Amino acid sequence: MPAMTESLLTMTAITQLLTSTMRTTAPVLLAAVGGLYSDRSGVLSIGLEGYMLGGAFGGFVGAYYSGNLWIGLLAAMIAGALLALLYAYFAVTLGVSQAVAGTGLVMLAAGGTGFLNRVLFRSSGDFVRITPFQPVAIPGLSQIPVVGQIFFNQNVLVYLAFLLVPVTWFLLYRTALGLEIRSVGEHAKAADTVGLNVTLTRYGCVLVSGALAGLGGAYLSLAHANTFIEMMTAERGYMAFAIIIFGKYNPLGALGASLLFGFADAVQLKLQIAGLPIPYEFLLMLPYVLTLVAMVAAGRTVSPASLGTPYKKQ
Amino acid sequence: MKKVHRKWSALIWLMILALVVGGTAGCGRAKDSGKLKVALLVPGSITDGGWSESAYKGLKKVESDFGAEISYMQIKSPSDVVEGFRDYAQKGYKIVFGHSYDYQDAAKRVAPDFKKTIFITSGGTTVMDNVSPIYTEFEQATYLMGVVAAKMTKTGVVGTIGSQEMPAISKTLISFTQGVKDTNPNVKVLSAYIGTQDDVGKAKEAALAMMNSKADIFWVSANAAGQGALQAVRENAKKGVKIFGAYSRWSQSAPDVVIADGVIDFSNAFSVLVKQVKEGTWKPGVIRVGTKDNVVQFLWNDKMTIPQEAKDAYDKALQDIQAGKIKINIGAY
Repeated sequence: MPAMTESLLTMTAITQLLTSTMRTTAPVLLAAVGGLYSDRSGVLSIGLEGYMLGGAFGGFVGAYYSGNLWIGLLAAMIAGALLALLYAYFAVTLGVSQAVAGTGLVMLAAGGTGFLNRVLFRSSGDFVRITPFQPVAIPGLSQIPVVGQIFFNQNVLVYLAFLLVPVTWFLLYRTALGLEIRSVGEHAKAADTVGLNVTLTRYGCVLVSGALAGLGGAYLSLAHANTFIEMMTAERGYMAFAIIIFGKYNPLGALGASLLFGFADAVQLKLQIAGLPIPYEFLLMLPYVLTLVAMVAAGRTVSPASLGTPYKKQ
Repeated sequence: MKKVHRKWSALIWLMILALVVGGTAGCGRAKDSGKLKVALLVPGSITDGGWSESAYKGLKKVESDFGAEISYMQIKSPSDVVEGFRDYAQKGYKIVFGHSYDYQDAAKRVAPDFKKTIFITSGGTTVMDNVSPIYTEFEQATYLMGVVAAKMTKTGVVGTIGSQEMPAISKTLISFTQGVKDTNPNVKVLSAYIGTQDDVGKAKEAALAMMNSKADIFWVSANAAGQGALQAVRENAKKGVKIFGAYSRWSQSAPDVVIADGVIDFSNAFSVLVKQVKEGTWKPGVIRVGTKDNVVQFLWNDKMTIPQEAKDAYDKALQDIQAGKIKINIGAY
């Protein structure tokens, strides 16, 4: 045991754990922050997994054919937003059950990206690859011991994910637009009565959630890996959906929840490697169990009153 | 109006899904003649560049080597397997290969009705008078990798990553570890399961975490997710981290970090069996194929300089395996 305690508790080990936490958190956080806009405007963000897959694939296609990762990111946002547009048409315009439409959308994205991937890339047998985003050390800040390595020596998308948290918070709680979004989500009819355009606001928010979740997906194919793999999002979209609720529909809460989840995941890997005599299935459960426990401890979450309810002008 | 909308939307969804999911099945049939007739049921496209393609190549090899009449069928849903087996048996096919371990139940159902046909499944454990599985001794390749890894590691720590703890995966990790320990008991082997076959990110984080614990050579058996570990290794190529190719030729795309590839070539497995049937020596039972039959292949990356010491250890271990001197542990199978 002494060997293990040592390997888990040294400064280097902790730095490595937290660096890994930042990387694992970023894609989920991007999707969760995106989903917040949708949820806050009253439209369930159940399709996040689908947007992420679309983004992962669209981003890879864009980056591969243009040879430019930034164009890849743009393509990812467009792919995610297009899927979101389709969802918005069903959820907002047609007013169908959002749970059904959202689930259908995820299935469409899963089948669609898998199919296109086989058509475009898997004829040769080997994986088609790109050169992914590399960590960019921020001058000065990255030199700070420990903290520099953890926070300021990551790839661009990690910075973006964490920056979007305060930006979203400010937008939602300190601007007129944010107030509009929240009003539409709380009481669509009242918002309509005072002259807000419910349909437009909801469309806008769903599109933003698609674009941001698309970026989260692109993180997987353009930064974490260097290729697209079918179903590579591996339920991160659903995780993000849960994290929004756990974070009480607040960007800061979502940040805390996704960090907790990412950290638990990094710890369980470390524990497996340390060779503890615990069945690996239990360790794999750890992040989910911890998240559940924390969710219970955090108490009741009040969701936006109009969440999931379509609005039709009388 | 609303109702109509909903109906249409449901229809559109269905059509899109049908378009995406629907595929076409390849199907070819042979004419009747006095020749040996061999058929194949494959789970995927014969151009998948992997599992099903290697079986189809095997069938073509049987055609050219033994002058057999061949036919194949792509299985689209599990219920097709029984029909496929039955159909071929009725048409007088002598051997029908079912290229998936989970076709064994269908073989079990059909076999008693067609005593003259031999049903062979790729994997599985079912043995009857006319049913037998092919068992691929891939653990020979992973054992050899372990031997080489023990000789080549600079840090004295190597890493193994699996998707789920199921026999086909865990046996490779266990035999790799044995190969390492038989060669140098002081080398430490780290091990982790990521619980998924698609999560590239998780495989990558597992590999990076192992590198943090000093591992410098990897064996990863996690299907597509394994690409994440490969990526982690490539990003740390400068630190001298290396990996083995899993089931396909990773060395072709990452020659700077891949020591050797472990590959299964089914095209040779089918010939071994057809030869036995033709010569009348075939008996029901598990057909074991490995490095000797060139079904399991350990292919060095010719672009990497391998220390002579590692090559010697490999040669000796290979000889010992083929002479039956080494008993490879595969855990519960």
